[in-house]
Formats: sequence, structure tokens, C-alpha cells
Amino acid sequence: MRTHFKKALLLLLFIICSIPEMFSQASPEFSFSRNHVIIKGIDDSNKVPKIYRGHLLEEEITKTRTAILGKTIQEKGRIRFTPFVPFNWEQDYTIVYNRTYTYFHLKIPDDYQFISVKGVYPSADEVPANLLKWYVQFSKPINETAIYDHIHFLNRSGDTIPRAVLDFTNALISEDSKLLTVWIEPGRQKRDLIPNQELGPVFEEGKTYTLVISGIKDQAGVQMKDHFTKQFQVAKADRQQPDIHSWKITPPKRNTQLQLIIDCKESLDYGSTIESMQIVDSNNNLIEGNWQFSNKESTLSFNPLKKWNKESYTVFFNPKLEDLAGNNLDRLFDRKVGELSSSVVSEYSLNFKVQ
Amino acid sequence: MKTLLVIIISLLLSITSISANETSPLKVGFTAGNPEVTSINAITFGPEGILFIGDSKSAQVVAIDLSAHAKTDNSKVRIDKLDQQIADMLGAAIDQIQITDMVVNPENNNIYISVMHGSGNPLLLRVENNALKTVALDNVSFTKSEITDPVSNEAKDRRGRQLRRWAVADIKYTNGKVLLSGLSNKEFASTFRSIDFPFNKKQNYGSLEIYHAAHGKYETHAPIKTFLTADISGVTHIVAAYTCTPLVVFPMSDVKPGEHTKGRTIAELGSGNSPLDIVEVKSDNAHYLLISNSNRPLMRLDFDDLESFKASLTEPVTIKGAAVGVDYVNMPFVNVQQLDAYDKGFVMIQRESSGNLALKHGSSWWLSK
Repeated sequence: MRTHFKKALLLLLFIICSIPEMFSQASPEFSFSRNHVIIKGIDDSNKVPKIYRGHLLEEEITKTRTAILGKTIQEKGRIRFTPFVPFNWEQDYTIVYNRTYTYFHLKIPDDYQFISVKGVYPSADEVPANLLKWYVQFSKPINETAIYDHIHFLNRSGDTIPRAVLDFTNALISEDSKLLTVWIEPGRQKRDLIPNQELGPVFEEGKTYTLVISGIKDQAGVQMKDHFTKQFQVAKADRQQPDIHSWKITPPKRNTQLQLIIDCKESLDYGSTIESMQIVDSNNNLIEGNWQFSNKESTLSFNPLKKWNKESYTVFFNPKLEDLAGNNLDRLFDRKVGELSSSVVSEYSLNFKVQ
Repeated sequence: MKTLLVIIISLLLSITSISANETSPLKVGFTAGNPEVTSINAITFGPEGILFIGDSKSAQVVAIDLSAHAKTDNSKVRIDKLDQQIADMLGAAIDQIQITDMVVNPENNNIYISVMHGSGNPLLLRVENNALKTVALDNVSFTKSEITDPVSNEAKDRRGRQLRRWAVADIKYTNGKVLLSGLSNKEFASTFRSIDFPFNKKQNYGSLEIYHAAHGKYETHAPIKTFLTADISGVTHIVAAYTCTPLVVFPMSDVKPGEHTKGRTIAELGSGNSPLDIVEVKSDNAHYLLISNSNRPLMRLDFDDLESFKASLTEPVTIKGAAVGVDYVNMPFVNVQQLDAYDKGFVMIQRESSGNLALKHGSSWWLSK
């Protein structure tokens, strides 16, 4: 009797000891982040999880349903899945592992910095009717997919202007993916092209329009919270080339690090201008420093990294520096036949003395 | 006698094995590894299964040896909900993915699709039995060349920032040269460059100017949207389609480094329209150019008409929306987003009227005379 009792006790002990193991086999532990799914507490790491987009039921996972691409690393007692691109915030996912279905959804953090428009160029409230480009500065890198679908111009009645923006397949974006170039349909802005004849220019002199930027996502797939709008008035078309000789230079004082200021008399194109000047001293040494725009992109200022210690300096301007209508130092955007410039690049420079 | 025979056979066998192991002259510079492709803007096949990738973000052209993919039959290819399938593969929303190009390797009929994810990650896919398979880009046989930027080289600011961004719009290979057309984010113009292949240090670039037929008084700068090289009347030409729709031809020999080259406008394809892709297709008795468009159906131009059209359009088009110049036929395929020749027919990615984005074949019936 005592032997039977002992045997029963041993069996009970064995069962109790086996429970955690049985439990662990039945319920592996999952943890999720944007970059990984980790499965712990498993005894057979040869089973590979499959992860799907969406909250899917068993019958929805058919042969044609594609699992998410990624790398699975199998280690002792755990599996780590790294998706090819990070998982999205606020998106449902389904993990199928060992014939069990597990779901996860990553909530966007409370302190998430949503993408926003920091500024647009031209920043002026009045632009020429033949304006060619806008630049949009975003707070963080953008999702470039079909980016131009998110940029519209409205007229005073609130109607969207058709065919206002030139739609490129690949976004024209700066290297840091934060400054977007938007071309106003050149076929409409350029005189006598068919779109110009049929639809007229995008913007009409004397009228008011609103630039609307909405629904743009950041690279993590999170959409901007608020629309960005900017109202502007349209002035007469600008058919004059920028002329650097009409610009006014205010030279800094010698042995100071004060700014050099150039009054350009008109708003210039942000993208083609801001990085298109160089200053050299009389010995042809390049002066290091930073260029900035102010006064609605009509004033250029240069902050040197060192003091001005020479008597005379020269500012060189890139011939492709443009005004708002795409007229550059070499040519008008819209010019008559026969005025095609030669391939020889002219040199544009202004001298100034420091006293 | 027996010994002599054995020696001869051995010699023959060794010669055969040498030639089998010999690297093709085009692939001499190829190494195995990761070419670090950071974007895929446009792709094209050269000879011997070499895929050329235009990678704007890394400012490079990468040549990858994909000849190991076996010959296949995609003549009945059909993949529905292509965008959804790719989004599923990446666990992303559909508006986070963009199909940037689609090409067929003419030597083995494999179809490749390049994709960019909104996070900036590129992906190359291959079609296998109407399913999408990934082509790993981190361990391949490759060679690459930097795309030197004429503008940024002449003026980089002191903090080393790239001043102008040059985005590859299209890429083609012809007779030992990789040709690229590109867009600048700062100027409304097209830079066209030619890079020798196998790659060396030599790169030529110039701009291709056009006379806009619709434009009675003014010359124009405009970016090339898509182009190809084709033999017209025995001379290699660049056939370029511009964003404002004219179709322009330039003899290759006229394109000189650093110079503007003026082309001959041979067709206006209708205003309000932007060409998306242009390919050359040959069937038994016909030779055509196919052009897909943003706002017009797929167009078919006969090479006979192209060769016999000697004029250059210089007069304004007076009828609104009219297309003038070389004749073409509108084909019953609208919203064709990607296009390539396939054997004697073609394959395309088309947004169908139901909204379905389909990869499908276009029968050679449409191309027979």
C-alpha cells in the first residue's frame, strides 16, 4: 500500500514538474517592435513563422496570399524575424507560427513627431504669373511615393486647378529627402505651347490662389496631421533676366566677421540660388561660410567662418541662378527662336572692397 | 593509334572546358558582393543577362549579372492586384510602394519589376510562374560606375552638400554604352549622358535640345521622360519622348560631350499628355515603336513611317489636342504604366478600368501586319 502511495506521489510530482514545460510548448512568448518579431520559449526553432499584413483569419491565408519579406534567425529556444522594411505603426499584422495565429498592432508613441511643412519657397505673398517652381521644406524625410498627388492649388472659389503641377514618377527631392521641388506645369506657363493655349497659364495676374499640401506621409508611413496652406497673389509675369549688376552689395567691415549683404532687388528661386555663389579673396582663396536668404528670398547674406582680412573680394554666381520665373543669368526661360545660348558658360561675378 | 585518339579527345575537352570557364569580356570587371544599391529609378537589360540599374540616391549605375536565371515562358503572364501583392510582401500600405520600372530579359524571357518603398528601400522582383520572387541584391556578381555630376562638381559648397540632385529618368544600353537621361531638381532641362561599358573613367554628358512643334516662337528646354536607341535607315538614333509630348530623334553621332544637340521633332502626341515608356518591338513582318502615355492610349508607330518621315515639325499645331507628324495607331490599352517588348509581343503593367493593377502580356496579334 505504501509502495503504491509512493508511486502515485512520484507520478503526481512528475506531472506537476512537467506542467511548465507543457505550457511553454503550447504558448510561445511573442514580442514585437518595428524592427523585429521575437518568439521565445520554444523547443523547436526549426519551425519558421510567417507574418502577414492585416488581421487575417485562417481561411483568408490562401496560397496566393504573400507573407512579409524578411530574415528569420533561429537560435536556441528563440526565433527572431526582421522584416525587409520596418513594420508600420497602427497597422494590423498576423503571425502564423506552429499552426497558431497571433496578432499584433504597434501603437504610435504618444510623443511621436508628426511630419509637417516647415516652410515653402517662394515665401513671398505675391509671385509672378509665370512662376515656375515651389520648394517645400518638410520637418523630416518624406515617403516619396506619388508625392505630387498631395500638392494642389485652389482658386478663390475653392476649386482645384487642373494640371497645375508637373507629375514626375520619381520625386525631385533633396539628398536628405526633406526639400521637395514642385514644378508648375511648364507647358502651361510657357507661352504658346498647346497646354498654354488651351488651358491658359496656371496662374492669372491679379488673382489669389491657395497652395494646399495634405496627406503626405513620413518614411515610417505616418501621415501629416494638418493640412498646410499658403495663400498668395499673382502679379505680372516676369520676363526679365536677373541682372547681377543691378544688385547692391553692402560690404562688411575689415577684420570683423560681419555679414556680407547683397540686395538682389527681386525674389530669387530658392533651390537654384542658395548654393550657387562662391567668394574668393584677391589671392583666389575660397572664403568659407554660410549663405542665407532673407526678405522673401530677395536678400542674400553671407556669414564668413573667419574674419574679413583682405582688401578686395569677388563673388561668383552660377549662371544657372534663377529668378522665380526660371529666367537665369544666361537666358530667359521663355525666349525667341535664335536666342539659344552657346555651350560656352559665361562667368558672372561682382567685386567688393572691405574697409 | 589509340593513344593518339585519347590525346586528341583530351585536348579537345580541355579546350572546351577553358572556353566554358572563360569570363566574357563584358564581365571581366565583375566581382561578387553587395553593390549597395540604395534606389532603383530605372532598369534595362544589356547583353548576356546584364541588368543595368540607375540608382540616383547613390549616384551610380550598377551592372548585375542575372544570366543564371533560367529561360522561362512568360508568354501568358498574368498577375492581378500587383500593387496589393507588393504591399503585402513589404507589410506596407499600397501608398507606400511605387513600381519604378519593369523590364524583360530578351535572352531568357524573365520579367523583372523594380520597386521603391516609402522608407527609401529598393526591391527587385522577378516573375516566376505568375508569382513574385525577390532578387537579392546584397550578394551578386556586379560592377558599377559613379555618375559624375557636372553641376555639383563645378560647385560644391564648403560643407560638402550636394548642390543639385540628378534623378535618373531612363536608362538604356547600346553597343558598349550605357545611356542615361536625367532630371535636375533645380533646372528644367534634360541632361543626357553616355558611359562606356565595361565601365572606365570616361563619361560624356551633354544636353539634348528640342524645337517644340507646338511652340511657334520660342525654343524650349525640357526634360526627357523616356527614350530608346533604334536603327533608323541604317543609322543609330536616340528616339526621345519629352514631358511635353514631342517625339524627337537625334543621330547618336551628333550627340557630343558637353554640347547642346538639337533634335528633329517627328511627332506631337497630343497636349495634356506625358509619355511614360517607349519600346521597340519586332515581329515576323513588322517593326514598331510602342509608346505608353499618361493621358492617351498605348500608341503604335510603324518604323516604315518613321523612316520615311524626313521632315522636322517646326510649325505650331493649330488644332487643339491634335497629334501631328508620323502617323500612329491608338491601341485598345489605356493606363499602361510600364511596358517592355516580349518576344514578338509585349508585356505591360496596366491599371484596368476596374482599378485592378495587372501585369499582363500583349498579344503579338496586335503587332502583325
